[in-house]
Amino acid sequence: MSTFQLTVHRYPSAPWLVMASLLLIGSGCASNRIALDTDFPVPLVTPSSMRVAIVLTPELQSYVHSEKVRRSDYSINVGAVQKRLFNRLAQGAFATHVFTSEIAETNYDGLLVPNISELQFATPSQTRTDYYEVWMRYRFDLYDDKAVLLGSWDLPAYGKANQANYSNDSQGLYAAALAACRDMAAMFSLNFTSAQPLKIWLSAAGEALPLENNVDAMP
Amino acid sequence: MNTPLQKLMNCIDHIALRSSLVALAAALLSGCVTATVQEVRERATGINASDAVVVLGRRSRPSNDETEIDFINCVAENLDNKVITVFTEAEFVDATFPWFEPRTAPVSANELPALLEEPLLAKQLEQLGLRYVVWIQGQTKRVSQAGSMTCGVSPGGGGCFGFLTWENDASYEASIWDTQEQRTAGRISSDAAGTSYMPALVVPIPIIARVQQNACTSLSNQLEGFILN
Repeated sequence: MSTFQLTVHRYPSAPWLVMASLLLIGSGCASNRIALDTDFPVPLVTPSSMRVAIVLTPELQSYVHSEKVRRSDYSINVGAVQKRLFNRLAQGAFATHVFTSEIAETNYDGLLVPNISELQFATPSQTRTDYYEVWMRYRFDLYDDKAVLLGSWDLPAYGKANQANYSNDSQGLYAAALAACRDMAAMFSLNFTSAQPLKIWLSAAGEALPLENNVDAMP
Repeated sequence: MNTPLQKLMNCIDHIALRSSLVALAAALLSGCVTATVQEVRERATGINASDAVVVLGRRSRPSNDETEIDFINCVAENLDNKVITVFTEAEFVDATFPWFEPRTAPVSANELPALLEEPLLAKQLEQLGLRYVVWIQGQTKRVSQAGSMTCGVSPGGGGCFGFLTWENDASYEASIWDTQEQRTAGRISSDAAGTSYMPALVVPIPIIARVQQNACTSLSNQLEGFILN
């Protein structure tokens, strides 16, 4: 008669963890596919009077970060929500805006081209902390109405999620990535008129006093 | 022969007996918890029917002791009643975005006056009828554990043998900000500690000390009394 026996010392949840681990080992390497799918709030800030054309490139909207960490594959898709994120952000931050997909001359005051230049993440097992963390680096290319590049604005964003609130890596990283996107929107809406590269862009576009919100087009 | 009324009474007796047994089992299978609540009042409080309260967890970046979402929700649910209207954390941070995000939320009540000068935010808070912001900090942690348990599985069956014990410690502090006075109204701390046991003789029987739940109930009750004054 075959008998399987295991001894668990000190950890009350260990029998279940051992069983879960055995199932995991039996099923091969873990794969974590995270795809953000949510809506965002409109920022409560005084909108800029600048009439801006926001270029949402296919690269931005299809941005997926893939990485292998300790025999587990991670794929974090943040591109799919960028359209919704910038739609909400623009509703609050700009009095007049339009969305477009290419950098070209415009009859608006200027072109704003958001890009995600980098995404990094960490899990509690890597950092020995309680947190899932996601860092994103956004780069906003700033063009005048003739589509001439005037400068760029780098905006780092950070999100974290306590592992105590989530049951697995996918849920924790989802929450951290969502927090990073919200962090970008928060920092953008609060610093839009004060960041140095934007000041140059705004002065080139002849920024006037803030106006009431007047959205021209929705994506 | 039983009349319909007698049958109904017997049925009620069975339900009552069953409920009592379930309650007794739950009581026997709960570990002991000791809880302490302390209150520091800095000014008088009170609430009108149109006023609302929000319970928020501290999530600012330098802090490594982020409060559990379950605990925040538990306090908000316990506090929400016919007298006090409570917003959930998620609906409040969305309604006031971007002013209460981890990197932008005010750290102390001294920042409230400047924050409330933001015209759109002030208008939104007025529409929401927000009177008190309750910031919660703290965590429940496992402070010690001991014992061992052996589980076996064979074609004839399986079972566990052994004894485990662990101690949890909950420590939370709530700061109550009065948005009308633009100052801190007071602080309430709730501490709870309890030991859980899991003896196993074939079947493990968990006797869990509900430390976090106890800290939540104590804090909520004290908060309600504090706000109602």
